Amino acid sequence: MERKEIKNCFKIGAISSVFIGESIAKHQHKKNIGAHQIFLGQVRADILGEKEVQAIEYSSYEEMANSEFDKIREEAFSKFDLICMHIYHSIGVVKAGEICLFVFVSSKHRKTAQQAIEFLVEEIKLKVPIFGKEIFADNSHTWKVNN
Amino acid sequence: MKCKVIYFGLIAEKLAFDSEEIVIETDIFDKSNLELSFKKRHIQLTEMTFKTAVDGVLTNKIDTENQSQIKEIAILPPFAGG
Repeated sequence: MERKEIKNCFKIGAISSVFIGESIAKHQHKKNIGAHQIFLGQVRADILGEKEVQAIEYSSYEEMANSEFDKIREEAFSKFDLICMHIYHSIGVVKAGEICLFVFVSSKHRKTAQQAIEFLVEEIKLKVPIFGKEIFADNSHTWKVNN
Repeated sequence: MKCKVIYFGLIAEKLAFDSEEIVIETDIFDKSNLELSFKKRHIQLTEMTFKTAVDGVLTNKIDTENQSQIKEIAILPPFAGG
């Protein structure tokens, strides 16, 4: 039996607006799609104590993370009537204001895409082993924890 | 049996290393409770929150019937993706 290839969902550094725009444009020929839904996670300049977060350095247990992304994708495809789904997460340093997570789903109807995106983002935050080092201007840091 | 252990994020930082090899057939290593075993092994982890994974699957124990096939145990601090 052929072994399924697990997709690498990581991109080094920030996810650019050009990449996001081109991803959308690539779907214009799929004319059975009636709705796209996108979630963009952005690095927030939180104030922690008296310091402001300048960037987050993401690291991951990449093999497990890609396997988890794959399981989440499969589950979403089984739960929702989706036509396309793409997930990208940053690895490495992403500055405040830049995009670190891009989730993109397409379906015939908007409700399906809306529900799927909510499911996907919650599952990613809960199940994918990604770690974030929040870096301050003085180069000190703390470790981010998802709420 | 020797087994590779990999540490991530805050935990690797606290320990000042990100991997080691351990022997899991010892009296102090409880295969039915990995979290407790690693808290005993490294005092720096006592107050920390973490999950454990065996060969990329979240679990707090080792399946003793298949333990000879284990490649690695991962110690995972709280997730922060997104």
